[in-house]
Amino acid sequence: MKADKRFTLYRIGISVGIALLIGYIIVFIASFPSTDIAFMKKMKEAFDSANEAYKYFLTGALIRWRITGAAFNQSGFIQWINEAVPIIITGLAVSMVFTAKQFNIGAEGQMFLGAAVATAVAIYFPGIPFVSTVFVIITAMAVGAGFASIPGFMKAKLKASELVTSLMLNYVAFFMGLFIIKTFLRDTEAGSLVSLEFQQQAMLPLLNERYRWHIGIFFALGMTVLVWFIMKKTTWGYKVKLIGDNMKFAEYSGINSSKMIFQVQVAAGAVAGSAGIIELLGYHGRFLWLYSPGYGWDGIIIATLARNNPLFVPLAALFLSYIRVGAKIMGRYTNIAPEIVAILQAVIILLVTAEAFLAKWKQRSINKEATQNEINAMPVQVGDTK
Amino acid sequence: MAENCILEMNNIWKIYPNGVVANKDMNLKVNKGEIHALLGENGAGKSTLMKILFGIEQPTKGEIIYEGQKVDISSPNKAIEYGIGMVHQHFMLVPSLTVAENIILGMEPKKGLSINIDEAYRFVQEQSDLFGLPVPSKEKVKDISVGMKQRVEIIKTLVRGANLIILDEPTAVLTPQETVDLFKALKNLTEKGKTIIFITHKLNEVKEIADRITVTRRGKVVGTADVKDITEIEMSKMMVGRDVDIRIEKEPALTGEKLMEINDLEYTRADGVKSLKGLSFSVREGEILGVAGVEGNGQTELVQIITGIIPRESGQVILNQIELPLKTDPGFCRNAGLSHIPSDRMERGVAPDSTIAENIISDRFKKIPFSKKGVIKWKQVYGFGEDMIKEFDIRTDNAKTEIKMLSGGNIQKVVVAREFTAHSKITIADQPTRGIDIAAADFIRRRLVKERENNLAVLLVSADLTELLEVADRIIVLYKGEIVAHFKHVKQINETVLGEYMLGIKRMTSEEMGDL
Amino acid sequence: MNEMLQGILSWDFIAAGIRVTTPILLAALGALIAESAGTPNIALEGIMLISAFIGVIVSGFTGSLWLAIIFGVIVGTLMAAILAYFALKLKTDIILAAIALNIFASGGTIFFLAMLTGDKGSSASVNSLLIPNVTIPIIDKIPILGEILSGHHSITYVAIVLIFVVQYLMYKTPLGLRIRAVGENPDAAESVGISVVKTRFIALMLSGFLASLGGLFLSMGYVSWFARDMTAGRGWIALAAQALGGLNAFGVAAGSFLFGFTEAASYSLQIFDIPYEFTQSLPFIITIIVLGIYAWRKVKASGKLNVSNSSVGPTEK
Repeated sequence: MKADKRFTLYRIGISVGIALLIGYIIVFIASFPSTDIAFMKKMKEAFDSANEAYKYFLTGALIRWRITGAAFNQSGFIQWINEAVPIIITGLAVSMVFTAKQFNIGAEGQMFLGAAVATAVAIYFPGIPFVSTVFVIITAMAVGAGFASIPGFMKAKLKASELVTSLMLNYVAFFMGLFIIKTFLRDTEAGSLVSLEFQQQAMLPLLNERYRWHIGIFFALGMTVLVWFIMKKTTWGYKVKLIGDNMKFAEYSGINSSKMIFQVQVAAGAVAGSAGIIELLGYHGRFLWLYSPGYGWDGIIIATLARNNPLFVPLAALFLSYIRVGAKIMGRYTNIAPEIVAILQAVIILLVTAEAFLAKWKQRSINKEATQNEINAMPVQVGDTK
Repeated sequence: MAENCILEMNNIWKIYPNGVVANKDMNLKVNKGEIHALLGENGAGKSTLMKILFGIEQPTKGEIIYEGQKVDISSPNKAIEYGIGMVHQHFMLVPSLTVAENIILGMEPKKGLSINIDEAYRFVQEQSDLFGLPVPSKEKVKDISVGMKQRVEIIKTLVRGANLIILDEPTAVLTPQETVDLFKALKNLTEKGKTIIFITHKLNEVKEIADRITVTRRGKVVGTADVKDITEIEMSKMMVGRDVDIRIEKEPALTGEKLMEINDLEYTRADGVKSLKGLSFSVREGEILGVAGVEGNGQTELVQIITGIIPRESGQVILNQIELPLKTDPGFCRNAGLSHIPSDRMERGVAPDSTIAENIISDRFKKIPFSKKGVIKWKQVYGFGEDMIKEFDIRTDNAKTEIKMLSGGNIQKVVVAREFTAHSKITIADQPTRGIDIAAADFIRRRLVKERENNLAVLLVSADLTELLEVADRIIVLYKGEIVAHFKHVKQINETVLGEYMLGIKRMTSEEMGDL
Repeated sequence: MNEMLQGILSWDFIAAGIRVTTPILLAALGALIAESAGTPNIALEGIMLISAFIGVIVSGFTGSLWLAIIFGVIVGTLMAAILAYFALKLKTDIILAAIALNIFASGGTIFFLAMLTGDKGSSASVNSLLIPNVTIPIIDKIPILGEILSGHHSITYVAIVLIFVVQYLMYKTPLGLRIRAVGENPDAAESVGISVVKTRFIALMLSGFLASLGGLFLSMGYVSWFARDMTAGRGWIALAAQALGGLNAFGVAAGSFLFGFTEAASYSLQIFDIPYEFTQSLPFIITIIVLGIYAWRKVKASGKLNVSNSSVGPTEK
């Protein structure tokens, strides 16, 4: 139904709008001066501060505000694109498992452990341009796939909740990954806990040297096309969708649902596995995470925003990345902590997935369409919706 | 409003969020103390109308006048307050709670902070005596029979002060004998001043029990009449708008070899009940074998074993000369040449969020022309979908419509479209026309007969005795996991005789049954 | 080896075990109620975190212990109410809504911590209070038994009592009956006029209440500060404990103690050169293994290997 799809877009737009509004209100309150001046003056100051903060928040990623005028913020732009890369990839991974209605939320752990193990390859594998890079990424994907096979197996064969097992494994992956870095790959001369540097030839080529804009975005977009093709154009993707829609029906049609449940989680694990190492290969040049960066959780948000459609994942990811960079820039120029983005994220998710949100409006527009069809000669569906 | 009139529903409209118009300007008047039948094919709007009356749904437009007052029934709570009760087609009971707990749910007698369970038992006993509906109050609902569950449902409405009771297809799951008991109980209740509204699409029951009827069709009310003034044929005409051919003409079966053989099939359920006790029969190509029996006598397990959903305990299942291994799956059975119309299409027969075309190719998407080397050819898929829509008369815009947008009858046609084009040798049709409109049911029955003319072996499991008598060539009766009757010539039997075997009152010897 | 055993079987270890179990137990009891109503609450982690934060902030700024507890509990229950509102009224998938809440909790607590104290890592600058331990008069004088029974934290005693309270609530009271009915067959409950939405709302709020007690314990029980993400996965372990114990409060309590003591063991074992990361992941690994065994036994018992008949896992709408 066309009204359906149009409506979903409206709902996303309104949800984002409300989230931004709530964010504004919070910034306003945080900017409320505590000095001893008249109330109206306080209000004005707060408004000014809030507007200033929001200016950085909404445009900071692209525009550098100088006293002499506005200029293109090249570093902000590059940061925006770079930071979208890992979450596009985890978003794709999550969209795959969510399509199958499997709540495997292990993308975080798969990504972290994949990156940790691939770090070893990036450090020690003989430095051959392109070949090293490919090998590093493949290692990360294999680790992600292997790790995801645990909840996959437990769900497929033992019917154990993949939600709980994948969650537990996130913590295990985190500790395992840290252990590997700390014990085998640590750079003892560095101040903090980081790995040795990667081989130069393994690193991703750069589009911009100064700000380290790496080609990871092309990898992410390429992955997008690949996942889209697999999910929408292949028999495997068709099976995945059927499993998620009605598993009993899929089995009845002759599909081995256990096998599919396992396979989709492993495949998604492979995708998620590459999300972390790409950033390290592009930007950092070594493993440096002390705590889990949260890309897996972002992936869940993005997959949800994108309604599990691989083609919309990059859009959702770029949106999230944009407001995050904006928030960091806002944090630099004001005293508003960037964590405010988490609040916005929560609001957006809650509203976007709320089926009943604005339902009455949707109902009215569909009613109009229905009565229109009544008038037309075409036979219309009448009767109980059994 | 007339003196005697207890309920008026005026100009009721209901439009669902997905655009389906369920009720179009419907009017209903019910008199106090009468049994009023609400008649219509499934999809005609009668269930929705009653859901509105019971507060489960809200009308998009229209008013309800109950006992002379305009009322707003915003929830079942409100309906119950007004004295309206409803017994649903799918029972609204909590399986792990006892009968008494189910009955007092929401109105629990208290002792301090806790439930006074002794008082609950006493109360249930008192009420069931008062209304002549004995029930086992301490047993868990999951352990009692279907007829008993229905009684519990009726008592539930009565103890909440229902004066108007709505029954939604109450006889769908009862044997002829249990139906007789139910009708007796209903007459009893009306003598005590209760009013009954009875949803059904069984014409013969209307004739037997109802005082007045209202006929619905495609969301509209097409007529109201006193039952004594109207014939069955006139009622069907109102329901469908054309002369319904309740007789299917067919040639006698030309049977060939045995395509399906069942030998000494046994199965014990997880709860310990042995639901199949050594079943043996076969189905030959070119014939339709009907399986009669009240739900719960083994039919479900039989179908699930044959179609590979559950593994058998012992015995043989041979499909097309291929013996099913103990650990089997639906894919194996399909490859052996089986197609299956499941009894619950929404549970197992379709993927509701997927399109019609996606649903129809679910058993053959790996084959040419629908895919090649793992890549799906969507153009071919949708072309085929359009062909199926035409051939099976599925009422929809196009093959890209999602299943959940269709009515029950059309959904069933999608299932049938798939199963009848699967190039199978054996078809299992399990309640193929349950819950769908007459026109669709007719279409499907005729198609079944056509398939048998194409030399398929068809196993028809149905709770609709008329359907079995019309469509099947031979009939076996299942009772408590055994075959207790075999009728080689369907023309000779009638419903009542069948009912006696179905209830276990009568039983044939193996000589009488002959070659199964 | 001997030293290790001695370390484990000491009184210190048991006390540590009880200490670690307390917040898990509280959250797990909350998970039980929510699960019984058919609305699994996986936002327990976030609710605990928020309550921990509120307790510290309120006690630091008002100097009142009781106000801190009251506000901590109110906010926790409110968070659960928001979850309920979105899941029940606005029809958000309850798992996604809970994830959103957890994200909000994680980032929001840091944001407001920074806003109120200027510090993003911990509340060290705030002088927050401690909820005291309890010495039971008379009993604490009994040799041996006294040491075991008396002297625990007040919230721990509350948690133990709550095991019995929750079991009684679920199986002896009308509310419990309704919650179970709503969880098993919401249509049935609706048909007798019970508001499924209202009942689930209550169930979720109760789960939020219990989780908030657990959160307060974390930041005001044995330490008196809040640090970012200090719940460290306890809310998730609580879910696992409930998955093991089912819908029985004693079973859930057993699961909670199992995990609590496992985690306490991970601290004790650190002294013996076993890598920190290994011991920290031990509770999670054990959880997975136990869940696996449990699930395997369930599969064997039911005799069916159809995944589509799975009953372990998130409840579908």
